[in-house]
Amino acid sequence: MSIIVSAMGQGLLWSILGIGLFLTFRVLDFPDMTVEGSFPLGACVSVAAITRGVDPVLSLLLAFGAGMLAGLATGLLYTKGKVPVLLAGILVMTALYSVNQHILGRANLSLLNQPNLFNNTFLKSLPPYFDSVLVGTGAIIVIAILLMWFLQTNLGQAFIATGDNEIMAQSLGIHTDFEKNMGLMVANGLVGLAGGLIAQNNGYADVNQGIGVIVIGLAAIIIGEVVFGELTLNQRLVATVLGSILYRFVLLIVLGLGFGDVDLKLISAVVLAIMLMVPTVEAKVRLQHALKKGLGQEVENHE
Amino acid sequence: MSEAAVSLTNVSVTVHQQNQSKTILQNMNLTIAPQDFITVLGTNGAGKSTLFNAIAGNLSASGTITFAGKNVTALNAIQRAKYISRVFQDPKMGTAGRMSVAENLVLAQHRGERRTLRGRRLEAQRDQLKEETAQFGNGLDQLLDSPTETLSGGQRQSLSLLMAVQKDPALLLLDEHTAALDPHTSAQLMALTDKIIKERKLTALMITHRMDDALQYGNRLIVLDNGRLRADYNAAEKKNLKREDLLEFFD
Repeated sequence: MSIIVSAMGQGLLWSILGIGLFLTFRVLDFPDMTVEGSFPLGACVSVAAITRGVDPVLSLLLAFGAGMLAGLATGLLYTKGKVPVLLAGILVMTALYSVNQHILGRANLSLLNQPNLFNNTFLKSLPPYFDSVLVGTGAIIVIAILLMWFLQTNLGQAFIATGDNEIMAQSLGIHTDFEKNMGLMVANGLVGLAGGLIAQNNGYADVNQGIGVIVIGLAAIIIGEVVFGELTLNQRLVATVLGSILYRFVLLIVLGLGFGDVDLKLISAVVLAIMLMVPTVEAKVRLQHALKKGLGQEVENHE
Repeated sequence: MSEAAVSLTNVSVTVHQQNQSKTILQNMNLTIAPQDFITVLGTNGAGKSTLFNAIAGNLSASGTITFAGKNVTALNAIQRAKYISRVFQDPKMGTAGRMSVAENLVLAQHRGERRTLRGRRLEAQRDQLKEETAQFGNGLDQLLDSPTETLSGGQRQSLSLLMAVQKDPALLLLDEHTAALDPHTSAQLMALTDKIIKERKLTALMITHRMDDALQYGNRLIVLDNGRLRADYNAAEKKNLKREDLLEFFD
């Protein structure tokens, strides 16, 4: 039982990362590698701030702000410097590795005997792992409502149009560079926030904790898409959150099969690869078509 | 005479490729009066699209371009969107494919404006959007919530046209906007284009390869050749113009 609650809590906390990635990967329609740097950045900023006496909640706002700056760096390289966005993200991610060590002062830092969002008496009184479920649910509800509101404003619609058809957006007078920078900032701000939250949940920050997080975020998005199919934009945000939780269950099953923690990254990549291939395989073998045909023939046989 | 809606003075466009420079628009002078509907003819490479790109600000050009007396030469394409709207030849280019018909229309209502955090007010306008899309008689009004990538080419171009006139532009640029459609749909859209331009008293430039359309529609006809203005027929001259008269430009 507690293992399932734990998976749900992890899925909810990590879904903030998935939502951030959704804004760049799906709405703006480009891969943003910055997240591999902005995620540990958020973790390092939050933990370093707490050890210097900052309130844990305030430290999360700092993590969000730091993530936004990382997004802006990638955005300026991309829009003003004309560096391809994939490379711009890799440059910022690499640079952040050094920055994160400076912020932390070492490779990893524990929150032992320090204040922590998950360390208050109310959350402590809950059964194990319910704290991360509660915090994750609260955070993702606030974020989802704000995003759903934003995407329905004129600015939000211009943001969507920029990712959808840039030439058209420009012909309507939409400043597409501004929209991309804004998107990268909000996305990486969310990723930084996720990093801070997860670091507090783990009880430490580590400069290496960004490795492979893009795969985890993409897995949430793509599992949501594969499982839930055609949806409106708002529904897709919810599907990404559910995808993030499902991904944790997939990991549980895989670990239950006897794989160890060392194999997690390999398994994550394999799960994502399989999910990415589903539509292709689907188109190739025309699974649904074949299924329907099979059912139809069965009906005919009965007649 | 009233002030020109658009004027081009000595507009040239030169492109540089591998140490060679080629002038694709040469000292173009063109004055467009308010409510002019000018059809533009010319062979491939005559400079028609270059002319449009220069006016819209997608290409840097020398010379001076003014809209209603205001010098816009220094403005880029995004800034000029306040004055100009454009319907492209490719149906895919004019609309955001994953956004719905209604969302695209509302997006176009704010052409050239600052995008703010105000709500898009889509539901409040639904009836009006339905009415506007119904005039095409091609079922677009039934598809307000469909992503535009699921529409037919004709529906998409109707939508592009409607988007271009959501907010009356100082100049409407039609870049062979019916060329990708079948003859029947093309004729239908062309007739509606003409109707909308007349009703709303718009000023328009239309590139076309269909000589009959160029003769039938508009009050002025210009012919481009090799980056220069070869001929310019006013309303009276255009009335007497025949297909044969134009063929000499295309040998």
